[in-house]
Amino acid sequence: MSSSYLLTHEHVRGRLNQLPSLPSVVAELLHSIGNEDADIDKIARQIAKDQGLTARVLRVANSSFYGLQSRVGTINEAVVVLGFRAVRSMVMAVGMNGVFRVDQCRGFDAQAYLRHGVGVGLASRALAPLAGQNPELAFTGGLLHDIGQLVLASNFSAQYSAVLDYRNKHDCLLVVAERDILGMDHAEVGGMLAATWHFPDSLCQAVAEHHSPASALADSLANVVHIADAFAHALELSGSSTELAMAVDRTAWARLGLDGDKCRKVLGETEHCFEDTYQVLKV
Amino acid sequence: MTQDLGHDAAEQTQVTRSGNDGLIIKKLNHLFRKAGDAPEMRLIYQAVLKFHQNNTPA
Repeated sequence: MSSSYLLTHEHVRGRLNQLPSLPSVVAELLHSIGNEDADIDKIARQIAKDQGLTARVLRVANSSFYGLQSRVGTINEAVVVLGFRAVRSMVMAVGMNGVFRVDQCRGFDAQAYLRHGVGVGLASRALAPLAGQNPELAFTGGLLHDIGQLVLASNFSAQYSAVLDYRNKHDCLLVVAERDILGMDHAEVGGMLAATWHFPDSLCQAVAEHHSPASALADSLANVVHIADAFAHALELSGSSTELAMAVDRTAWARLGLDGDKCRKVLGETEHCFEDTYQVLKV
Repeated sequence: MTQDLGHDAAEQTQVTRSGNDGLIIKKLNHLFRKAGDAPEMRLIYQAVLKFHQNNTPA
């Protein structure tokens, strides 16, 4: 394989600097994580000004994902009924994935990408209590964990097509193909994006270290997202013919204290609201 | 090695290799072919197998 496909940090950083800015409401929501003084009413009003965003948030709020007894009709109602954290997670997830155009990357399956992300988000939410993590933040981390793939597919489309060809030819994990062809992987690139967009530390760790959780802190969200990633692959939620189950890291597994019963419970919770959640989050 | 993982899991759960169960096991063995045979992966394999058996019409 040609070494011309190798990427450097300078290549990636140069492209990241040219990305469009995040929608202002998404940026403000990011900033509000860990900020106790955030003006929730003001942020809710900002969300409400974006009709597309509002419609999609309300669709998620009224889906089986939350299982509400009565329907919510406004962002303010959603904040009251579901809580600000839940609405924030939804807006961030919907807002960020929409920034990238991947249609120029031959072989990249955007539908499979989103299906897998939703699966990892749901599994992360179900696993979060085992790690003392906030379930809504875990959902966001899971949904966005592979965002480095979007950076690569949209900004280095020829190189990433070569990665996908290599993966198919050698029947290997995508992350292995990325390292062999590009010299770096989507977790590393996602970590660079997370830093550029000033993600909070918990999300930066989840994105950057989900393939290397042993080197993350014991209470890092990366442990949760790593195990959730393996569960989503094992359930074949992407719907892709190239799906492969991946080995889990023993350290992350031990940190979550998993056993067979807990595995089955998380798999069931993940599958239960998967299709409905995917339908409302897809473009 | 991963094939062995599937076979062991099938024996432990006393699954017959006919009909739907056989198809599920064949599919899972293919899916798990690169996942190794660590104890954690055996647990995940068996949990997924049981999940599919409970959710697949006979």
